[in-house]
Amino acid sequence: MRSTIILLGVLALILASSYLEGLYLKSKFGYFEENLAKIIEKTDKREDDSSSLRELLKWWKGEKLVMHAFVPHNEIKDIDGMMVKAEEFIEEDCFILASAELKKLLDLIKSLPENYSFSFGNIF
Amino acid sequence: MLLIFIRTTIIFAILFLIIRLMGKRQIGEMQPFEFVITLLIAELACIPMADLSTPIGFGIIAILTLFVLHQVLTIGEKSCVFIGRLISSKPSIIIDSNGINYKELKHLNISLNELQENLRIAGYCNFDEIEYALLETNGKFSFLKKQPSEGEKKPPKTPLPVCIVEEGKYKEWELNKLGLDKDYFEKLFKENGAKSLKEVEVATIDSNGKVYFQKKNSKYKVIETGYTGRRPW
Repeated sequence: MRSTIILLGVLALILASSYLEGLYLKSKFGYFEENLAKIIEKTDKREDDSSSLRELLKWWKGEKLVMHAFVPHNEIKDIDGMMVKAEEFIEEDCFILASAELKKLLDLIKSLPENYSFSFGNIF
Repeated sequence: MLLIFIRTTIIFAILFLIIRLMGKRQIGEMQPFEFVITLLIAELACIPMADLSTPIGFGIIAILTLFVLHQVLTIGEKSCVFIGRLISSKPSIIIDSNGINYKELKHLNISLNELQENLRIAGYCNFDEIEYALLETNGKFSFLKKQPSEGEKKPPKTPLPVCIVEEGKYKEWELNKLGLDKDYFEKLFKENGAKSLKEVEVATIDSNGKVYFQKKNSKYKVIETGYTGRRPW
């Protein structure tokens, strides 16, 4: 009886944490994607939006502390690098390079929650 | 370095807890599925310990999943005889009163040398000193020695006990194999204080008809019945 209760408890913990992880990643990366898309739109129009990018970088630095528990640390490092690079390009008015870097980042952000979602492809 | 120290401590604590929850059997006498789980756990524990880029949660969830699988298989093994046989197989009789069972030896991929080696480790030199040899489900050999008594040229038959009831359930396979009658045992259990089969924790019978009977939360009883079933042991 005791082991069955522990078993059900652990099973519930795994399922609940998986569900919450999915929700958390979806919401955070959704927000990230939305804001990044706006910055890309402005960068494509050759408008300096480094302040928004800096703000997003600040937000990301706060979020990534928790994100380390769910996402492999190398991928978080990649996001950091791409954001800093894009910021530098915008400050130097290299909008084409900044846009390319931000689009690469957007692609990574879109793929991250998908890579950890429950799907046939991810299982195999 | 401090990171590795903390991560290793966390993984160790979780592994220790899981191994304790899996039971003492896990340490010394493993069933095949427990052996597989132990191998996997060892590997899974190493990855988040050494690789700092992997979230520690990945390793913990994998270890907890193995614990869940272990518990599910254990419950399945206990609750259903068929699943139990599927998961842990059954003990194999290698030597019986007729001698070495070569068919079973071949089936188990055991050579005669290996059998002799295990016989010697157990303290016997000759096959004729043994009444029964069994290969248990955990891969260990059990030997039952012949017991010669004074004044008798031929040693008496050593009784081989067989479990017929476990946790209030009949072991159908054993009953059918030996041609043992359920009605006989139900009557016997009632005479010895068990109102229903559910109250019987364990009951075994040997080839001399000696029944080891234990009611739930009670001291065991040994009953000499002389009953040996319809088929030869």
